Amino acid sequence: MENLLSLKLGQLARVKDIRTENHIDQRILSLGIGKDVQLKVCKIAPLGDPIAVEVDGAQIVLRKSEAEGILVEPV
Amino acid sequence: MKTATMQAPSRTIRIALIGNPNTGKSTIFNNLTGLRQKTGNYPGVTVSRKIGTMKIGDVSAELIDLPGAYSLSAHSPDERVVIDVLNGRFKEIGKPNYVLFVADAANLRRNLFLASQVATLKIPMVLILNQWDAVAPSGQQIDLNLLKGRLNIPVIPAIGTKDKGSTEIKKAVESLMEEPKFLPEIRWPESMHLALDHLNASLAIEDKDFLSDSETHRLLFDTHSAEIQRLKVSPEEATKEVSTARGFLRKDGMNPLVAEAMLHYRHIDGLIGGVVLKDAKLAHGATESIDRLLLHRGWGLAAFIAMMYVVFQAVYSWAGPVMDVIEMGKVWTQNMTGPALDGTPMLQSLILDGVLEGVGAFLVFLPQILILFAFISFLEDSGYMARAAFIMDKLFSWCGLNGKSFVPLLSSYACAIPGIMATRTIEDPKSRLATIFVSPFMSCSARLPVYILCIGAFIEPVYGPWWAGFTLFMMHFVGLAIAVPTAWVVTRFILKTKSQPFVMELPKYRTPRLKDVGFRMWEAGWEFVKKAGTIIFFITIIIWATLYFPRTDDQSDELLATFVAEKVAQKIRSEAEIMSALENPDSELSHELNLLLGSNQINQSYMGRLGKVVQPIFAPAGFDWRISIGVLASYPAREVIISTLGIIYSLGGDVDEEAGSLRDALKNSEWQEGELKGMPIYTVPVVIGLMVFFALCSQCGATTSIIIKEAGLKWAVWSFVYMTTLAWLGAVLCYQIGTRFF
Repeated sequence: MENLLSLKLGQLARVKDIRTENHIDQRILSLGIGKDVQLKVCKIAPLGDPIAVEVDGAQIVLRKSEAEGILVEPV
Repeated sequence: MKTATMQAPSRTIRIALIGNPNTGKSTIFNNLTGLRQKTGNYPGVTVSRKIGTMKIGDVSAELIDLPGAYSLSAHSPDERVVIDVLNGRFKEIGKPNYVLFVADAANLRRNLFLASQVATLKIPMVLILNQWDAVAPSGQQIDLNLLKGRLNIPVIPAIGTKDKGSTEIKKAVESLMEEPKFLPEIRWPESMHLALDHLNASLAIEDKDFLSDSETHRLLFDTHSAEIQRLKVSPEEATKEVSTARGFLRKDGMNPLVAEAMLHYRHIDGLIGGVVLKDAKLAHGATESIDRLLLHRGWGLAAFIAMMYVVFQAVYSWAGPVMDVIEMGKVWTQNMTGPALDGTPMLQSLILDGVLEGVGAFLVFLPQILILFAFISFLEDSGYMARAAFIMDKLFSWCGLNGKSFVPLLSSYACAIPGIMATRTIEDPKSRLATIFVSPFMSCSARLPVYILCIGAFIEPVYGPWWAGFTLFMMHFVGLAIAVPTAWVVTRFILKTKSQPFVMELPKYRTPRLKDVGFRMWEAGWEFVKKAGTIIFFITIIIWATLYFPRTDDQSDELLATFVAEKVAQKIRSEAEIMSALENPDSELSHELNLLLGSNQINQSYMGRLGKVVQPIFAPAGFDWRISIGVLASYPAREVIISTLGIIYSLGGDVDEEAGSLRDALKNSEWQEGELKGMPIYTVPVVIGLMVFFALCSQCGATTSIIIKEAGLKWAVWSFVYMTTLAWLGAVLCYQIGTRFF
């Protein structure tokens, strides 16, 4: 399965699974990134890391190392 | 009779203001309470506490502004305070009677997650849909009537920055006082009830005062819940029971660690289904266009550096005229009070040379504090501060900090105390400790007086304003240059725990409201002025006393005789001429004699003696005994060096009250003995060394005490030793290398 990092900038995708460490799961979930949620990578920091994903109209910043654990399916 | 008309004691209610970060909560708070605010700390923790009062009808209400949080699950001390206040864990605040929940209207689903968690506390709630004007531009429509019907509580659309909604919010609270209304609570599945029942029974938490439902949820769902410390059983036993309880959820096919979010979001989706209509293509407008520039690979970085540069230039140059006015006010007060105290020389000296000189020298820096806080508030309220963290994260992450360290570190440029307090938003304990450790290296506003004085006296007149601004910029950079490798060493070799994630939200850009910027400036300015009235006032008197005593008045006849004899020996004037010139207090000779008497006094004073004892330690940095005294006296607070030097030069008679300033006194001061006799003390290497010393030193009692509170005594001691050593080394290097070039 693909992860967030394999998406092109602006490409819409659906979250299939989150395989990060437990406390990161909780954090990401409380920010609205959960299974079956649609999101897209909307910004990359000028220095290449972190990235920002857009979910439900909000933009959430994640480091690439964490984004790797978010498995997605392009829609 | 008076008693007959006396009103019944009016009722006081407590209202908690709660919501996600970046929802404009503080704006709503400012609108509702105006200037009736009190700031302080929560007992035991150093999360800043803001409580304001307001009138609702004839009831007076206390409004508690809670830190912004995404969830009741506490990852940071800030978030911990939210659940503790809601459960009435702080005795002197008490459990809130009502909750005002501030949601970002354009992001309803995510915001309601916390609201749904709060609903389990069964406190009547008002939902405020703030930033209502941003809903349409974001391509959404909210069916308000449908939402009100579903949620069963008052729902108030508001635009905090335009002060729209305040009246309606107060009315909504009034309606809750007549008839309490609650946000529909989540309905847990059967397995959840089994899990909760198990915890209640095995951990003896049936007694509801002991652990509330919302706290039991934390115990069940969170990885390392602090609630475990409230239990009467041992942590090991509790962990065992929690894991048994989680077993019920697992059997039901749920992952206990993500079950809570899943269930709450399912509940929310049920509540707001069909309420929010979205256009297929999300409109973004201004925020996206601005970000395309400000987060651009090249332009974004350039804009960031330019913005920081403008901040420091502004702090330096804009404050000038206002500082002159304050300086003039000080001199005017001295001239007005001086003659009135002519009969009591000691009191006169205490008031003029001690209090007015010392406190005045400190207060002069108020304009700078205000300008800096105006910028910080502006950057935060506009949404740029989060972008700055986004841009800086990569630079910070390699040395073990993260983008969120940026805000505490930037705040530390104003003052390390709010900066260190702001580290509580960093969930990762490792990044947090490292950020605390390096925060005092950021060039706080208390160093500014030293820089301004040195640059204004020695750099600007010789090298011009461009170099002055550049020097100031570089002084702010020195601490950062030391801080980064320090953080790397700390996170790599001293703290060996695993790093935690960096997750945050990028808010939409908003135009900051002047009123809110004003509140921040007022808050910071008042803190500063309070310091002048307390610690600075106190230290000033002590320093004055150690310079004023013991008196050497009995030696003045002897000195006069020597002085006259010397002048006669020079054969320029006769003794009679000399004596008559000394009759006139404005004559050149009188002035010379006063200087001699004054410096004799300082030389023999307790402080003067101490200064000469410690001066050898600072000799490799080119400091004379007066600078050494300044360094010693400023251990409680850096800015004290200014008032100390002010007193030294003023008592020494070097400061001509008409010309008025310490600046000139420093320029004219020369070595009075030794091989450098007659040479100026303040050469460029000494001045740069002095600034570097103050850039790196740990001269701030308040910072030390806050580090003890936030990180423990061990870290505070380390911080003190490390910084003091670096400061001394820095000053010595500047002097030793510098004197070879200048």
